[in-house]
Amino acid sequence: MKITRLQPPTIEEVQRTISALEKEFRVSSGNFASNARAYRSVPEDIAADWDLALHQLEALRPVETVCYWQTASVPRCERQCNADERREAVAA
Amino acid sequence: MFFQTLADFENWFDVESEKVKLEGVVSQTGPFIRPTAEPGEPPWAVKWLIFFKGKYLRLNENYYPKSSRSGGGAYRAHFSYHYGNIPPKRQGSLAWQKEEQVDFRIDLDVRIGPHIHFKGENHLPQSRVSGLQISDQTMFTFINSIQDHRKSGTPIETVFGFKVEPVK
Repeated sequence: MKITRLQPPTIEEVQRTISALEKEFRVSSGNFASNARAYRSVPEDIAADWDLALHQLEALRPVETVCYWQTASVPRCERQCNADERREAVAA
Repeated sequence: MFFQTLADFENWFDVESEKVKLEGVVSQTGPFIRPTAEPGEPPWAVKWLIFFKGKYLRLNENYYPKSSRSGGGAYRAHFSYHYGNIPPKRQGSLAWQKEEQVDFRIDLDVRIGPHIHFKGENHLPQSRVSGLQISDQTMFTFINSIQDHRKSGTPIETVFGFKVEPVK
């Protein structure tokens, strides 16, 4: 059984998905991510897709933005993070 | 479950799925993988729908990145393996549908933790399920056990080898 690789989403598509979920369930992503009651108010399969979308957003976020978190003491445009540094910053 | 790269995951998936002998399948949607923009970088998700006459399997997994400090790669943060009646409008659609009925479902939820849905009881935690390590299940063990159940008529709890314990 060969797995079919779908086209990766763009950051705009992920943002649209998240906005649509926030509107449909009247829960902000911040609340969804931090409040257990808000999380449980969303059907399980939707919650999994929403959680994935938030991770995708972090992965797709422009490098400089995340780099700034990682190297706060370094001027923002001095250098770009490599993939490992970006993952570290996202996980932080 | 952990994979260093997306290619490792795809290779594992190819090998494991070859061992599955699907019988009585009317149609399938997937398996599909949704990676992010950077090829080979997590997160990624897998979705697969398998339709029988009147029943279906819906299999979802989400893989998230591990920090490079812990060696990088991706771990399976979430899964849901669902077996039950096909709800209206579900045929072929990957979009979420409200599930009115479930025969058996096992979940590893990022917030709620491992649990099952069985015989009308929802979110039965691991502490109430003996004989089955929920977080060790794969979509392939789930498919094979459901196929055994369908072929032989053996009760689901017997083919999966679990027992629901009473509330203490």
